[in-house]
Amino acid sequence: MTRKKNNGTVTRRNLLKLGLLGVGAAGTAGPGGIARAAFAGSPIAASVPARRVPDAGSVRVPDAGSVRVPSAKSVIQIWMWGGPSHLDTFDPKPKAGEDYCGPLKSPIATNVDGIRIGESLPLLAQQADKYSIIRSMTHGVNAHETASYITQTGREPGRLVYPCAGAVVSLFKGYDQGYDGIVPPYIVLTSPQGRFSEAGFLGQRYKPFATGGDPNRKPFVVEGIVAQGISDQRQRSRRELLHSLDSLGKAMPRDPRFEELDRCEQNAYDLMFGDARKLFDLSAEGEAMQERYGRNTFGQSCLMARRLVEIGVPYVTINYKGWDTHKQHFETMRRKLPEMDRGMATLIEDLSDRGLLDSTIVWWSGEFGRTPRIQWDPPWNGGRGHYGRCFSAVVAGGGFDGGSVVGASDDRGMAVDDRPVSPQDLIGSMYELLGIDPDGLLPNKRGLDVRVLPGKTKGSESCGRLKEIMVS
Amino acid sequence: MKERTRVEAGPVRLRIGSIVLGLAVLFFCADGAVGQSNQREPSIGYLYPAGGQTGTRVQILIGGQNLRGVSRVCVSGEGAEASLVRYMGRFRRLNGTERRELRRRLDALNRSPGGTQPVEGARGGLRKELAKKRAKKGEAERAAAADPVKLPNHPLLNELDNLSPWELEFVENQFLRLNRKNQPNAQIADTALIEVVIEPGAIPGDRELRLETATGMTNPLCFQIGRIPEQTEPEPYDSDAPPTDPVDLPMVMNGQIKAGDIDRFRFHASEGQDLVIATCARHLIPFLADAVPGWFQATLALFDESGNELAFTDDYRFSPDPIMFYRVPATGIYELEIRDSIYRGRADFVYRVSIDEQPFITSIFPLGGREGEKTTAKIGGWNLRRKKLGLDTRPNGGSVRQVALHQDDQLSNPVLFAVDDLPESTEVEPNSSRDDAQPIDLPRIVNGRIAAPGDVDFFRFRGRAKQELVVEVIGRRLHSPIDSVIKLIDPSGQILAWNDDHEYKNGFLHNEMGTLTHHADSYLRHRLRRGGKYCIQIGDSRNHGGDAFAYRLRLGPPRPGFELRVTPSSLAMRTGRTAPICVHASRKDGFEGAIEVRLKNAPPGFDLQGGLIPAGVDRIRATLTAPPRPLDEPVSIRIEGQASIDGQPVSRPAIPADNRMQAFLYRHLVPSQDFLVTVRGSRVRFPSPVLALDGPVRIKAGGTARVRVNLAKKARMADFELQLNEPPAGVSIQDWTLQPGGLDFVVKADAETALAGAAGNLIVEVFTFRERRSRGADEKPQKQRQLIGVLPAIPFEIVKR
Repeated sequence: MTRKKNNGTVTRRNLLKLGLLGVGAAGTAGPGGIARAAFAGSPIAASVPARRVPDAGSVRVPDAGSVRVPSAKSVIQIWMWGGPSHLDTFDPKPKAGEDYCGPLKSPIATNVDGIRIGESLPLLAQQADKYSIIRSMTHGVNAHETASYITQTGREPGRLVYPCAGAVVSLFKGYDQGYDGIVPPYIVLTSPQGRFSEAGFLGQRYKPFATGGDPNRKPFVVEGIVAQGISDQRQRSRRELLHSLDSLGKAMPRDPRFEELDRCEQNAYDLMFGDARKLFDLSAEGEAMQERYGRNTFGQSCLMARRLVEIGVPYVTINYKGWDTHKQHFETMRRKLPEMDRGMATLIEDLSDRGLLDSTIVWWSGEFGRTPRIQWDPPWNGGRGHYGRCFSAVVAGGGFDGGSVVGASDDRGMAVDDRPVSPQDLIGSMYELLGIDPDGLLPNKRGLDVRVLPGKTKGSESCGRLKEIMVS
Repeated sequence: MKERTRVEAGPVRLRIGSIVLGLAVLFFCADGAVGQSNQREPSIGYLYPAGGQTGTRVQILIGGQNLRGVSRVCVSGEGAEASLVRYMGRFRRLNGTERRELRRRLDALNRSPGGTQPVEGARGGLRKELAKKRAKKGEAERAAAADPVKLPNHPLLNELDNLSPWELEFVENQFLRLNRKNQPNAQIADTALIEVVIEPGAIPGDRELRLETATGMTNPLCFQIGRIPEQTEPEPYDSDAPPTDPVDLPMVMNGQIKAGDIDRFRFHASEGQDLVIATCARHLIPFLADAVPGWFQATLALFDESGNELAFTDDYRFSPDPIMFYRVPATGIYELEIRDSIYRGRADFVYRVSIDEQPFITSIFPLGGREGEKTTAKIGGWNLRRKKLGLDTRPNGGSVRQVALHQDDQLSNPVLFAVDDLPESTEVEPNSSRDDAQPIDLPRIVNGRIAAPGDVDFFRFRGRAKQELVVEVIGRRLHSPIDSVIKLIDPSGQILAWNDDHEYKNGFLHNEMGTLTHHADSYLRHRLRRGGKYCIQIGDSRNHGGDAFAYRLRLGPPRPGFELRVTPSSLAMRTGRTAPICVHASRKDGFEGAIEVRLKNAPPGFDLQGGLIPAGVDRIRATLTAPPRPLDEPVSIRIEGQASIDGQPVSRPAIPADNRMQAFLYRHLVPSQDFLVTVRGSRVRFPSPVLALDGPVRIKAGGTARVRVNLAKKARMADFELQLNEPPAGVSIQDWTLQPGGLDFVVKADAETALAGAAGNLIVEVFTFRERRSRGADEKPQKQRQLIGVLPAIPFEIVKR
């Protein structure tokens, strides 16, 4: 592409240099603005200001409490955004008939006797000894927002907006507890949830840093860290320009708010020019490794997640979109399940090979499953709807046993037949393995006695945490 | 001959090797639809335009699914005949070469002496201009000189030389003017063009239009017949296009809101005109399954010639279809804008907007009368020269009826009223406090209204100790804007019971409210502990009020009864075949008894099986079997239910309806005018299966029961599977075997999951397998399952072990 020469018109850059845009430009186009916006939700950006607001900085972060010795250090959450079909993945029902199985009616054996999974997951079948399948997840909610909230917070909706598991782990394993990694402690690959505020009442400080971009592209353009087509020199030049325009900051040189902003900006630039950028360069893994994970966004996200936990990031979420398959369900399954199979199986195997699986929990789940009975009628034409009454989740590593199945659904996958597991049970089990006391307290502005997870509630179908697959 | 049988749990699959049992008969064959479970059944999602003027001939584009092979177009009522012009199929993207070739051929058609002329106007002009540019470049000539490009096999592309101007325009829109905002929607992607001839004397109003294909009959969609001129939005409507030429009133504008569309029309209006601008959008297609909100939510905005917004509306009371009343301040040109409230759009966002000085009734009082008694209602509204309207209360006209005002050659909007056999009273003000409560005797229907915001009405009656009382409001169901709330107050002033909304639904299924989604009418049932003077208070829950806020308040002892709906409202059957239907019962005032459902005045040969709705059951699936000979014309089948209530036989018609989904979740039984059935001949003759049963199959929980189906003729079957459609909890089929003269199978009730006392019908589907050709040498031939029939409904009952 050829670029037109400047024919005398004033460019944005020139305009900035002329100072015509003044301070206003800093908030819209300046490099500092970019960096600040990118990290607005991350502790790097919010670290200093956050200490000044009562939701996080002014309250005492509670002790983790007297809990078991943690076996897990990190979590990789594979969030199956939209809700994957349990029948087509980890809870096949070949005997339920065509109206339930559709074309995916031939489950395959795994490397664990007696466990069969969906026919589209042959690579995961070979790793079944490393993960456990929970086939009796239930919360009964069929709406995305509410189900996502329940599944990720372990809480029913109420007056308070609770933090999701990632934010809680960030609280107990992040900066407040001495985490000093080169990237924030809670990373989302690549888009944030959007269904609800991940940090809830904990506030901005514990929100995840969402990378943006696509790890399957080169370069992996990470918000505020790796920019395409902008050289370091140009980036530094932008920074200098911004500083030259910062008349308000110059007028109030010792104002603590501006000092905090300066520190925040410095942190951002440390990320942009430091090791963090190398971290997100997946080419360092080599062609073969990238190929092994699958040359697609999900596969490369799994590889990126492995790199992140390798350097000690406590919580990584891979938001894996495309599972809300009301229409063209089986076409989507044919396309996406092999992708998922490859990425997830390689992740588990790779973590295991590197000795990381013992300290890393891999948690696979969506907000719900999908209707076991296929909706053949228009407009669905062979789709599956939302289904929160019974669905599946998978956990591996970090103290969870492999090669097990927890609970069971009925012969059509319509209802929990044995050992119901609520999101609270699953999240509570993870917290235990991470050394987070589920009965510990969460800081909040109102000074309420808010526990990490609720106790067993009246009418709850919960059968408790997953002791049967937790390494004692 | 030895039979080898392989049995699996769940759906039973049977291989019978080399069976030749007499006649080469498949006792079901795959040439026809057998009910809603057929995945190849046709359906329609929109009609465009969705109506026409009397005395005209209208071409209508229909979008749906599985429309190939349309053999009949059915329009309900008299005075309108429809026929298929052309099946137009689905549209796929052309590649660049194909696009250029199509462009070249369309241009050639436009330039030929007898060829189609481009549409005039802004877009026509643009097209001319583009064609000139291409001609200059000689693109068309060069393309013609090159190797001929073959266009894909498509009903329209194969017939380019024979297409009408409208069809050519359509081809251009579908293949060459791609709108990247459009999303694929398989349920409306298949298209057909039909023509409806509307006689001058056709009665205006809503009709139902269905298509019949070789595989079934579609759901009905609303097609409106009106008396004023109509105009159809030119396609594709471009929101940025220059304004259209203003039209003269009255006029009905037909349009579609495609992705991102905002449609605008200009019209002449004169000072002092009282315009009623009424939209039909959601009325035409009440529910969309895959959209939120679950319908096209239209908005109307009116502008003057300078672009100043004069009026805006996005609803009419509780109805999502906006209606605007506007007195024209000055003679001039005005512009009307219509769009979706959140800027969605797709092909089934179809609308009709009438702009007219039509009579429009906004209030009616009373909302009904006693059966057989002369009743005159006061009406209010726009452009009404009369203020009274007679209500037809003659017996046997139904409990809810509709009436419209005829004024010269104009017809007002229809309004609903109710007819009952209870004594009636009219509210007398003042009655806005307990002290001023209006005395009434029970049982009674009081016709009242919340006359002003904040108004409440009190009625006093003498109650007896242990008397059971029902208080029911019928208002919103008659399209009154009232959102009632009622309170039962004892002699000391204590509130004994109250109710705001009484939901007529079963889970997510709204079974009785038609297209209404807010169950605003109140209902309560209470047993009085002691005698005395009690009061009923009624008001509007939002403290709204006005002339239109009318209600009918029923007070008295319970009147046990029921209402029935039958779904679907369309069946295309083959002679002798059986199809499942569903009957929903709404039980009233505590009625829990059994209801016997049967055909009423059906043509000979029709048979309904499994028609007993057991006591306490709200829904059964039954089957309808077609006569052995085909019918020349579709027939409207009537079904009724009969029950014994207080020792008296009570009959109720089953209202045909379709089960429509709203916004991914809710379902509604949307009533239709007819339960329309067609019967065509089968390619293969076969005997109908007959159940050999004396009463319901009784299965012990944890046990089994054998069922025998007699076949008058022997059958040859190679590879079959039986499957229960919507099986009751814990019930399955096992051990299907073919015997001389019939077939046997075993019904099993699981000990843990089958509910003792559960009763209803089993719907058994029969599948066969066809070998699908392999695509390559390495691929094994695959078997494709195909539904070939449904057995007559099998009544069952789970009994305790």
